[in-house]
Amino acid sequence: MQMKTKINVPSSLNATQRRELAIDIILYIQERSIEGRDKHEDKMPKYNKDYAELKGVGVNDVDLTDSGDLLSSITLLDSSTGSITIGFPKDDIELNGKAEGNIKGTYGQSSPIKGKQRDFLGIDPTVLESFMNNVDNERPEITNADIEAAARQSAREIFGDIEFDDGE
Amino acid sequence: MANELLAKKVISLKLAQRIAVRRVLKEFAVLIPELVKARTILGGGLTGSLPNLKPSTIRNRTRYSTNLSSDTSPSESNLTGTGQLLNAIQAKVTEGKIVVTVNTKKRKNELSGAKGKLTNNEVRKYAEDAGFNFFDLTTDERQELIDLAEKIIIDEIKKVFST
Repeated sequence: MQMKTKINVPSSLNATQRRELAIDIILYIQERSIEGRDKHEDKMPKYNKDYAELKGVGVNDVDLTDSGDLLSSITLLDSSTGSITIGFPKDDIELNGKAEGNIKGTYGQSSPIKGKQRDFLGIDPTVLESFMNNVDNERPEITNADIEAAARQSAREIFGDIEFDDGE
Repeated sequence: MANELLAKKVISLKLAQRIAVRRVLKEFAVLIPELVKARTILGGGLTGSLPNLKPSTIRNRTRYSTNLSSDTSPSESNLTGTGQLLNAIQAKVTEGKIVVTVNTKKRKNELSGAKGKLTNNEVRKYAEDAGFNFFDLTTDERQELIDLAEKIIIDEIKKVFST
């Protein structure tokens, strides 16, 4: 099943404004999920002990990030007057399955596992409103050169985060 | 206004980078142990080839050659006897860092077939004290990983902004 969510936006927004709003929302959902909050801004249920151990984190360190594929694949699926739809590409069965497992709390089972629903795909109306208020503001243009420079810097910084621990 | 736009640009890029960096860390936690293992099996150390084995070591390895891993031979200097040491290299992402270790489990057995008394990390230390330095990344490996990280991060950021 394709996992997506339709978000109503003012019909006065043009296509460019809807696209920019979608980027803001996607970035927000990624950030909020990494911080372990769901679409209602509530804390997501903790991981079970075995999974947390496998992932090398504490049970409370919920971030919906294993490979990073899930959150980084959220995309704008449709934009039309009065609404935008964000979610996962229809043809990616694996990602949709992963997303469905989290959103419904099924994780491969036929029915939801009680207390394990991590519904990350959506946005609280109050937060959405704050993004709407910025829609008319001028946006910076993010060029390929900006992206490459940011990536170059990040890639080098990562190497400060690799430690060979000889245990001594 | 220009400053405000620049600040917005930086914030948007930082947000997109956060996911990308997590992805790189996860991938590298798998890749780095494999990289160190592959280079060492080919006989590479941190600054060139690993030192040659001493004749007494070769004699000993010849004696127990049936216990040798298929990745080595009696005279091959690649820190591989039973293969336990290199297979004991592991990495974990902890608090936004990759920590690479050699596990401290007692070895199952030694090349002679005797029950192992040392841990894999003790064997690493012993090897390094003898000049077999392998447990880190070489300059070339670092550069390759930086290039790969850059590529992954660019792809990930572009995914968001090409929405």
